[in-house]
Amino acid sequence: MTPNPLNAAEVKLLYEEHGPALAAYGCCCGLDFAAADDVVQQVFLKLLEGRVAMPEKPLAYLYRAVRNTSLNRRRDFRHEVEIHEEDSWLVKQDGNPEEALAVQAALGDLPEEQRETVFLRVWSGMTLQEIAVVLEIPMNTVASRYRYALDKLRERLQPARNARGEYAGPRKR
Amino acid sequence: MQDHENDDLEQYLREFQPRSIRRLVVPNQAALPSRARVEDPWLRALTMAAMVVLAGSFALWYGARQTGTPPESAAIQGTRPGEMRPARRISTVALTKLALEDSEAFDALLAGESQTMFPGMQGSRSALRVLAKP
Repeated sequence: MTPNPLNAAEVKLLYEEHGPALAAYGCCCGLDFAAADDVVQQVFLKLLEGRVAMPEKPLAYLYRAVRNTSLNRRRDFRHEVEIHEEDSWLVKQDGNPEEALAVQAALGDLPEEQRETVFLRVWSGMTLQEIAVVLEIPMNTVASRYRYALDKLRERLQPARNARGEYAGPRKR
Repeated sequence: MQDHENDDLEQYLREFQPRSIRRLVVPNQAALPSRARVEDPWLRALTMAAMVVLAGSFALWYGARQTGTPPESAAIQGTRPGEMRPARRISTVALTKLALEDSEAFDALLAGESQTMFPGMQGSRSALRVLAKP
């Protein structure tokens, strides 16, 4: 049975709930924030026009659509895309903007496949199984990518966390 | 131990939120393609019902039109020997009835039909001339 397309109110609700995270995910896929914003609009516009039927797992579909569209856009405009350091897609309420940029930079230093795995786990709240569905890879691969990514991030973000007095380095075993 | 450190790091990362994006630009309802607008199941059911009624009405009209045509036997009865008519389909029942009631007219009809259906046998250069009655 083909699932019904969503009505405009349902699409708007999805957009408000997941739009910012989807745009940030587009940034993880190598776009600047404005381009990622455009990509998310494009994906949701297709839903509004009824050009795609929403599958059973809408979130997995949305992330996959944003990923594919971002990669296509990056390929089509590869000579024009230039991501500026200050183009932030992460913010912290009442926090130091430089700290957000430091986290963003640490994520940016990760290989792309590790970066998107961390993003989907931390900011989209997906399980490793759900991430495997979005990225269309085995779950063991997702788990190892995530582990490697966290190791690198821990090392990279240690100074920033130390400065907050939150993190005292790896515990002794 | 490693899990605890991972949890700490995840918690730290979750303090940061994705930046908000612009509002979704919802196009005017009239600008959306009809496929997106006609999603009401009742409307779809009504459309289907209307199509079924239309098809039924056409079938009834067509059937009534067919029964209104004159019977073949009447046309056959009016046939004269030697009369040339365009080839047409004649039912076996009508032919049998004609053969029983008027054998002369039946022969004439078959002769007439054969001239429209079979190759000529009368011509001097016809390959079938030997079969023709003198």
